[in-house]
Amino acid sequence: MNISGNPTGQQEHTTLSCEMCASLLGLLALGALPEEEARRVKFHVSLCEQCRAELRRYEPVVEVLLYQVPLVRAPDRVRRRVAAIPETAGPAQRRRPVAPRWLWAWAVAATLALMIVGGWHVALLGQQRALRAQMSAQQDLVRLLLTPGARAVTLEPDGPAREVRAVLYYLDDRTGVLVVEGLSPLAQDQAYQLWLIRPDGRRDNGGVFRVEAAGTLTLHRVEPPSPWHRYAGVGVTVEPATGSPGPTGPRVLHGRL
Amino acid sequence: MARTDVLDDRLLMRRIAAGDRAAFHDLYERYVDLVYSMALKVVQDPAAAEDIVQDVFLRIWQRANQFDASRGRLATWLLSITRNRAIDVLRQQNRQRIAADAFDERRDDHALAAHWYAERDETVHLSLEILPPEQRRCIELAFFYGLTHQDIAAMLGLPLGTVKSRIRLGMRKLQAALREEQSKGPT
Repeated sequence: MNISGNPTGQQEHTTLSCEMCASLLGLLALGALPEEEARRVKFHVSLCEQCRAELRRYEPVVEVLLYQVPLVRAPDRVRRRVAAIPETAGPAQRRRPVAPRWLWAWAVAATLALMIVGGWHVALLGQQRALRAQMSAQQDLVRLLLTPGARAVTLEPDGPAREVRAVLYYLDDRTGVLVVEGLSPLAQDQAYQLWLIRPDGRRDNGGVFRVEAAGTLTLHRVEPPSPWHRYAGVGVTVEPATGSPGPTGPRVLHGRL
Repeated sequence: MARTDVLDDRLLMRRIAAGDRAAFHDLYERYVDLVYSMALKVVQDPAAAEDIVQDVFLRIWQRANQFDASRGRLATWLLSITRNRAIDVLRQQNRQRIAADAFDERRDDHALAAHWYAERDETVHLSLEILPPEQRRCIELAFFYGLTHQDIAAMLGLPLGTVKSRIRLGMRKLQAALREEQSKGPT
């Protein structure tokens, strides 16, 4: 099965065969592929059940590697710091930023720079947030691909978006990643919005996402308000950049769960 | 014994999610050495490893409900998030090559975590010692320091194809060895 695996759209589309993909799966499981190559392989895997199964077979190997560390006793100072966490961090489940000393120093310095320079730095932080969001989605996607029982739904394009390919991966525990290739970038005041459709037709918000450049591979992390089994379908529409309480723009993708 | 430990871990995590400090104490006593060992192996710096251990256990205290026992052992989950966090630290400080250079291939006196867990857990464990040294080194550089095959090739002065081949063959060899051990049954 040959699947186009070039997500950038800036080069000619090349074909990533299953044989080629299989030779890279061990490196992917190890995290040894550069980002662009990893994205191509992940996209192929997202559409190829055979390669997906082969990737899962590396999961026990990764587990073996995790235990290849010399066991060292943690110093007493470390034990005391950890023991103090419930006292200093407050109640469990309370979300606080997790930041070591060096990151706080960086954050203070960055804030001062922002105050001095202004809008240009605000835009830079926005790009960093977008990058972190993509990295988080990539991690979720690999985790889903390695988990038995993860489900995949291919979404169909609507209207002129015929060259778009999209797959939604999800697990019943409310983890999900939408993988899309071929959507066109929108105006600055617009975004794509994912809708999770209940059997009675009600729509839940599945989050907004943007496509940075034509043809790029986009990963959108989905955190549904309810478990996946409560939904019958999904759809993607064009909405204002901050999203809408309900679909208002044209639909570009749809699928049944 | 092993099954009791697994059930204990699940119970501990549920209790921690409910804010049980005694459960948190039991959990970190059980796993703080393991987490510290992984952090130290990756960052090769005790002070940075200490911060990473703090981060990991803070995350457990604040988000114990994120652990899904159906996906695997708690120890594996802890090692995985520790490794990821440690590699993030290396990347942010541009210290991946430095840490990898400091990595000492000699096997020191400390027993591997794999040996310790093999004694208390019925599941199969393997050692990287079954691999030829050149394959083992490439795999460890990628896995513990977050280096890509390009980074490893540059670091070791090898062709890219050689590095990719060593990693691919090493991973397949580990896969085959695991299948063989699993077919024999638990040790």
